[in-house]
Amino acid sequence: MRKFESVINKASKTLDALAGLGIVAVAFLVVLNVIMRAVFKNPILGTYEYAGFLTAIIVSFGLAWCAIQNGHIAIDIIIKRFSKWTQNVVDAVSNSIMTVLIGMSAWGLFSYAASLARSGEVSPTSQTPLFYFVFLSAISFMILDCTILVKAVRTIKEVVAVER
Amino acid sequence: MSVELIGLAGVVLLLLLIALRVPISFAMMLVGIIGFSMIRTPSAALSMASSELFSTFSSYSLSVIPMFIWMGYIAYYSGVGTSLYQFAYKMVGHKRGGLAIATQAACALFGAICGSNTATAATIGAIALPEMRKYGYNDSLSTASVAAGGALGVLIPPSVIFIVYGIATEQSVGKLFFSGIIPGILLMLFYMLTIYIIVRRNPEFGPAGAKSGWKERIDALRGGLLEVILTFCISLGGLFAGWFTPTEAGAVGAVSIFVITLIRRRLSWEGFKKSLMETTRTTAMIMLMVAGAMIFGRFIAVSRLPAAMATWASGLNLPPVMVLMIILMIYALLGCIIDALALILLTIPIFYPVAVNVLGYNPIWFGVVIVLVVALGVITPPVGMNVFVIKGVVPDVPLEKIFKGVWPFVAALIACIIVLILFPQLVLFLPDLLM
Amino acid sequence: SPNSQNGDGSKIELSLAHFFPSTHPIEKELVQTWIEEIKKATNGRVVITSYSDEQLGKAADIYKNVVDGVADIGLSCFSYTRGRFQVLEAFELPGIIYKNSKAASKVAWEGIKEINPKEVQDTVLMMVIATGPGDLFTKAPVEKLEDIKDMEIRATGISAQTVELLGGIPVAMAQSEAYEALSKGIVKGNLSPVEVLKGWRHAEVTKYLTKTPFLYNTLFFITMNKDKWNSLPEDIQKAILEVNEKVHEEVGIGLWDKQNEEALKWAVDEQGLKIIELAKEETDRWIKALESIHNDFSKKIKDESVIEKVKALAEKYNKLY
Ligand code: NA
Ligand code: NA
Repeated sequence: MRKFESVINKASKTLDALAGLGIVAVAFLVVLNVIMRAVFKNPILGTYEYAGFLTAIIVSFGLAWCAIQNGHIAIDIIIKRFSKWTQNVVDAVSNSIMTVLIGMSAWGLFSYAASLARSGEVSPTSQTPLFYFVFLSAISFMILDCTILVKAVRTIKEVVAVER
Repeated sequence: MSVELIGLAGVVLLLLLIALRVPISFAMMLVGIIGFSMIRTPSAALSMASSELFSTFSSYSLSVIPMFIWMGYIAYYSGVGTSLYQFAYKMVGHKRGGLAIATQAACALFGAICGSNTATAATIGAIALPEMRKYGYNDSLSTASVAAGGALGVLIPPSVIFIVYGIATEQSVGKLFFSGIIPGILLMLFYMLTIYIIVRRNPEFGPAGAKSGWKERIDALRGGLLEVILTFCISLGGLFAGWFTPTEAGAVGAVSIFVITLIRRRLSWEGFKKSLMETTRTTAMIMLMVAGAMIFGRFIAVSRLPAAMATWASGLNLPPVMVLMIILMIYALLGCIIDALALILLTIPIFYPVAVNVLGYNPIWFGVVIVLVVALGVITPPVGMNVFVIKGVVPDVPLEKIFKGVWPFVAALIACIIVLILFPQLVLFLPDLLM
Repeated sequence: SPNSQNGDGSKIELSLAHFFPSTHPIEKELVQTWIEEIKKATNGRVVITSYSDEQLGKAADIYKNVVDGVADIGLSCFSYTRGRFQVLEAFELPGIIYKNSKAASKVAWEGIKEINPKEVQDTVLMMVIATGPGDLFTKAPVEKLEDIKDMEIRATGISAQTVELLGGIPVAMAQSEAYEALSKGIVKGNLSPVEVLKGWRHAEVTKYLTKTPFLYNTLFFITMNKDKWNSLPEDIQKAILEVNEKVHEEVGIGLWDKQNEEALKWAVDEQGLKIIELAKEETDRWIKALESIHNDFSKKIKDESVIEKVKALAEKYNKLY
């Protein structure tokens, strides 16, 4: 499990770094397009589609590392009033449910990507195939799911340890 | 069980999950998928969820959010934000709460280049919050005031929500833009007054510093205001000159401040890396929350809960103002659990005809009031998008602390809404004059 | 479950998803009439609820949502999911004159039934209507081909290619961004159905309209989930099919003409828009500039008969309407 955890951590961090590059890419692409349009009268036609796809990559690639840093916001005022053990049980249950939820979402995204590949859908203007990006989102959700699985296992262990 | 009842049960389940420390975005996804499965089918729910996730993540209009956030983080990590606040401190720091009041002016100014409530709160938050903390400002006051100040980003044109509203209701977008200016300034003044009252009662919330002489002030001006002024001039000037669109302004602002701080040697490699890491984290959090809100919103739509509420409200046979009040209450309630844009798209088909055709309210005026009510929704618990964004910017401030500080600003917003209900001319004067 | 149904005369509830505002004639006239007529024709057994304003999914996701059962019925544009409906692009290619939306809608619906391409067989089409000709509305007058040279014009999808072939600079942006962009002069014109002048308030920010009945056409579909359709009793299917044709003829085909006329009147009377008509020789020059698009299209789908069929139908219906 520890080995698995460290692999997932590394993968998440790498994806996050790529997401950072994506931010720079979107910013400079949009500005380049503005300059090409305003100064050279030769805009990059698919800019707004590319910016959208890059943003999808930024968000997807940032999800797992954000989860590891507890960046997805939760409210703990109410649950804090309960005993540590109760909190652990609740966390164990909800993390397990989340593992299933995100796993299903990943699966949903994979089948969405597959259906887009089959139907040959492309973006309207630049005619970029959509399924690549959906596929990348699906992979990101899989890794996000792994980080939640790690949390689920950790909280379950804590519950069991206290009971024993 | 009727679909409306499933919808209501979904709302209850969502609140329960949130209370149990389930991350809000995941909770909305979960309830949305389960509820949609019950009303339609599980495979339809999964298909809906995956396309909502992807279309939200890849939405061009939302891509402006990471750009503005990055702009804010560069300002912070390059020290430009610090210089800006040093200057502001030298100017108004000797007054109690001076910096927090100045920050409201910053929100309004920034609203002239940014069209989104969330992005305004995030950008100003990234710059202002660490600085106000340095000068001993109370976290609760500073975070809550910036979360509330985001609303100025929507009222002062350009504005994403006004564009969406204008198109959904066939109203002039230009008129809507003009209509937001006076209410925007009014709200800013109300916020400033609120802060003034808070620090009068609790002087330690915004401690007054020593008064600076004019020489010191001018020295501080040289310190690093140039970067901010240049970035702002490029963004605002370019918008007015017609070089780029409001959506593009985010990227232009980010690249400008990046290049300027690089040339002026204020941005280190470490700072650059950190600005990106913070941006990806905040962006992932916000966008997953918007996607969650969309998924939850789809479920609420098929549950026909909003329609049931509207039928109920319009069937009450009350005087128009009372019905309007009920509609606004419903907005404020729904705003507690659904994202602003999703809320407007979801409810306009239901409430707009009631307010405009049945009750006879002016459509432009109703748009402005809706924007204010939605602004209320994004800062009130349990789901307050702007509060979460601020939490993303300063993760060490407990969420309940921000929510606690929000109430005086909620009061200011409500006061502003009441003034606009009593004096609709404040909204309609400018658009009627100029268009 | 509220969606359960059977052939014994109990109620069948269906959902219809689209992206238009609830105030738009597509909802008020087409969708509501269709729903009413079906209710009447089935003696109240089929009840359809319309979800406007992208409530059940974004415009580009609507077709997929119908395939996957997110909604039972969907109304959207084929062109939002480019590549998925390659053959149907034939009806939206520039260089073919459509006199009005009636002619364009008849061509599209009859053509699609005849060609019956494989790409639309994962759902059951109820009807297809078209916007008919789109015009060029600009800030500076466009009277001849040279005037459009190096002019930034908002256009997406096929229209981007169209603008490029005419010598203009296509700028792709969402319709929702176009208002701001036009008002600030980031783009100097828009190639869209005339309805946009009022619906998206573009007449507030443009001054001229050049009539170009050969530059633009967009198809809208109403389509039903296949399993849902197959689960309907035969008498109900028959009743719906009859309503489809009736509503298509009486409301559908003329819908955009009515829209366009109203918008144009508003734009001219209240916003002072000036209309420019192209001379016959000038029109021929424009159409000639667009020729290559047709050849590219036939090559891509490896079938030259499709475009010939569309041209023949267009000629037939331009005479009739
Ligand atoms: Na703004
Ligand atoms: Na709220």
